[in-house]
Amino acid sequence: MNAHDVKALRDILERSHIILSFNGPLTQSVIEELGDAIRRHLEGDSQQSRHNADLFSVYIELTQNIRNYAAQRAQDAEDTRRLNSGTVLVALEGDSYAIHSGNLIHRDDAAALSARLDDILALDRPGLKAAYKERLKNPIEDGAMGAGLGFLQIARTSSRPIEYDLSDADGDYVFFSLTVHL
Amino acid sequence: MVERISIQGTRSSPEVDCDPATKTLRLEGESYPENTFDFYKPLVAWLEDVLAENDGGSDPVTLDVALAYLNTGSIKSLMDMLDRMDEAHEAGTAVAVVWRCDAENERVVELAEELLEDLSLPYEIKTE
Repeated sequence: MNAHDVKALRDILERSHIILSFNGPLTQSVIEELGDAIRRHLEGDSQQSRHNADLFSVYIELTQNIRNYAAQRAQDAEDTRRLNSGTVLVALEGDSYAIHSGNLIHRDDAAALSARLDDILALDRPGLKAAYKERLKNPIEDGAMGAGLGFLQIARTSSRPIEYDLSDADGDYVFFSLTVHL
Repeated sequence: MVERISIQGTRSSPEVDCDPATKTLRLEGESYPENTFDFYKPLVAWLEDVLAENDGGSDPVTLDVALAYLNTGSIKSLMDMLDRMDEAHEAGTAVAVVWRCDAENERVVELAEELLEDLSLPYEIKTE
């Protein structure tokens, strides 16, 4: 990357109102550090306290989702490296926040993920609450690392329908991206 | 005899005190540890053991929660604890739930209400 590329990247970040961006391997300590940065950034913004809690919550669900997926699905060290790497972008548009995330998933998992998100998108607010409560009552599946509640929680927190995209990546991977408006 | 479990809090995991003498499980701080279920599994087991031992006793088995933030894995683990306590309550065991929230932390107050509203056990949500 040269100076010109840096400017081009900055222009994209500015145009998209990105106030925080991260791209790279996600470890628990990176998640904590970045989470602290998000909370600190928001501290001055006291009348937005509800939004702040929501932004932090969506951020944690998205990043821990990526790590849990990598831990469960990775086949070998190289696969772990690819699956455990994430992109996190926080945008401030006017007075509301949006968070974008992106990560690679196995091509074989794309259809199931897409079906799961479409099911969630088909639910209205009471439907989301009912689905959330049902999941809460279900036993945790053997070996599961998450409660299966993350996307439901994110959808309930989002002020607009969540937006997702699955686009071709090299080899056996698909790039999954998600946008959540708070 | 059930043993005491004490765990120091970190930036992402709560301070834990499971005290068999007071039959109280206390959680305080943040809760989004890595491998959340592994973190909570021994605590749920501790609670089950204390509930089993306490059958018929008059001092309540108490869950004392003061968590500022919970990821969904923690929420699920807490719901499992509350379900166990609710079953014990319906079977005649004395139980109590105290959930302490910062009054400004609206989301935690809402969460506490949502988790507790369908249960029959006695609870108190204290906003401080």
